[in-house]
Amino acid sequence: MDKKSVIDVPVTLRSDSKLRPAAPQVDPPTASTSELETLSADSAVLADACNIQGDCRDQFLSRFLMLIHENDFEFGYSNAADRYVRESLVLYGTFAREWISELFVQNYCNPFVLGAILRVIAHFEYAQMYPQGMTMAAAGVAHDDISVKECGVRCFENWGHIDGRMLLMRFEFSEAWLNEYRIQVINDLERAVTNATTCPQD
Amino acid sequence: MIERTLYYQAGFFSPDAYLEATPEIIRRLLEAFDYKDFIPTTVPEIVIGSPQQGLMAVGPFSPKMRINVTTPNQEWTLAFQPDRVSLKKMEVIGGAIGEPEDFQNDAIEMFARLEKAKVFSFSGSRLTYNTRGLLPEMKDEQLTKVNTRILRLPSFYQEHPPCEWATRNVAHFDLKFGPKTECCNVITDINRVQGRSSIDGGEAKLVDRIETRFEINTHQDRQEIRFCHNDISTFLESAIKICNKLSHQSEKVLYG
Repeated sequence: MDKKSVIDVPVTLRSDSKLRPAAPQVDPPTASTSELETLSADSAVLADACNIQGDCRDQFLSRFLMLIHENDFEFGYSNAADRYVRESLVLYGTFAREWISELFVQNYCNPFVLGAILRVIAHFEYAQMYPQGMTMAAAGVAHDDISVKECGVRCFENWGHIDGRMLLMRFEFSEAWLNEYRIQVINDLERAVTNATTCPQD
Repeated sequence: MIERTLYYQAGFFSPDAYLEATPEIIRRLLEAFDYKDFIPTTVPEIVIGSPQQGLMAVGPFSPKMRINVTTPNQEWTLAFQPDRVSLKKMEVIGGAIGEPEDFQNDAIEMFARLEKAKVFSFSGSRLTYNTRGLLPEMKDEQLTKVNTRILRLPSFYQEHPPCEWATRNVAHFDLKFGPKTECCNVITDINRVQGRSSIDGGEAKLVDRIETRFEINTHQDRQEIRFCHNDISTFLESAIKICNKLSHQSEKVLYG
C-alpha cells in the first residue's frame, strides 16, 4: 500500500482546541461517539478567539521559527526570539504558549529547534510558561538526544520550582556527567524549598 | 475492500477521565508510556462562561489545559477528554496502520499501562470502538452506480446524480463480551467524500472516494458506572469482529 497522509477535514480550531460550554458535559444527541461536538461561533468574542488561533498562529510559528534559525542561543542571554515570545505572551496569552508547544511537537526530531525552544522558555518564570513549559521540559528530558536532555534539565534548574524535582527524579541517564547534573539540580531544588520553608517570613 | 484505513479509535467513558496537565500526572504518564516514544502534550480547551484572571485569561474565556500523550508523528494519541479517555491510531506517512486486530492488541496493552498509572479511577459508563476507511478510487459512473444501488432518490437527483452523498444506519444490538451483554449502537456510515490528500508528503491532490465508518458503542441511555479496564479487551474483541463482518457485508452491497 502507498504511504499516504490523512485526508484534510474541516476543523473549527487549530491545535485540536475545543470549545465547550461550562455546563456539565452531556452526550451528543446522536448515537455516535466518534467526535466531541464543537459549538459554532455565536458571538463576536468567540469569533475573535477563533481568529486568534487561525490568523495569528501561522504568523507566530513562521516568525518564531525564523528567529530560532537566525539567532544564537545561550542560557542567561536574551535574544530576539526571547523578546518576540515575551511580546506574544502579552498579546495572545495562553495561545502563544500553546503555539510554542505545537512547534515543539512538530520538531520533535530536530534537536536544534528543540534546544532553542527550551533555551527560550527557560528564560521565563515557571508560572509564565505553565503548564506547557513544564510539559515541554519533561518531554525534552525524555528525548533521545543528549543536548535536548540537557536543555530540559536546565529549564528545571533555571525555573527553580519544586515541580522540577518530582519530574527529574523519574529519569536516569546513561551519561554519567548528565546524571550527575540531574542529581545536582534535584538537590538544589530540594534545598531551595527547605530554605524557603525554614526562613522566617518578612 | 478498504484500501486505506484512516484511523482506529477506542474509548472508555469515565467521569474523571479529564486530566489537566500537572507535574504529577505527567510524571505518572511518562512512567507508564516509556515506550513507542510517547510524549506529553497539552491541549487548550476553552470553557465559556467562567472568566479567569491572569496569564491564562483570553477575554471572557477560561482556557483549561488538558493533557494528551502522543507520538511525535501523531500516529498514536491518548486523549483525556471531559468524559472519556480516547485512544486513536492514525494513518501517517511512513507508518503502517495495520489490521484492526493489531490495534486491538496495542490498545489492550496501552489501557493496561494506563490502569497501572492510576491517573484516574478507570470506572466507566460506556465503551466505544470506531474506524474510518476509504475504498479504492472509482470512476464517476461507478460512484453513481453505488449511489443508485444503496439509495432511492427523488427524480431530480436521478436526473442529476449527486456528487456528494451520505448514508447512516444505526441499529441496536445486544453485544456479548466476556460475561457481559450490553445493548450497543452499531453504526455504519457510507459516504461519498471529496477532499485533499497528499501521497508520500507530496503535492495535495483532490480525491473523490467512498468512505466507510463503522462504530460500535454501548447505548447512551445506560450511564451507570459498571465497566473497568478489563472490559476493554473483551469489548474490543467482540466489537472488531462485528465491524469486520459489517465491512464484508457492506462490500457485497456496494459492489453488487
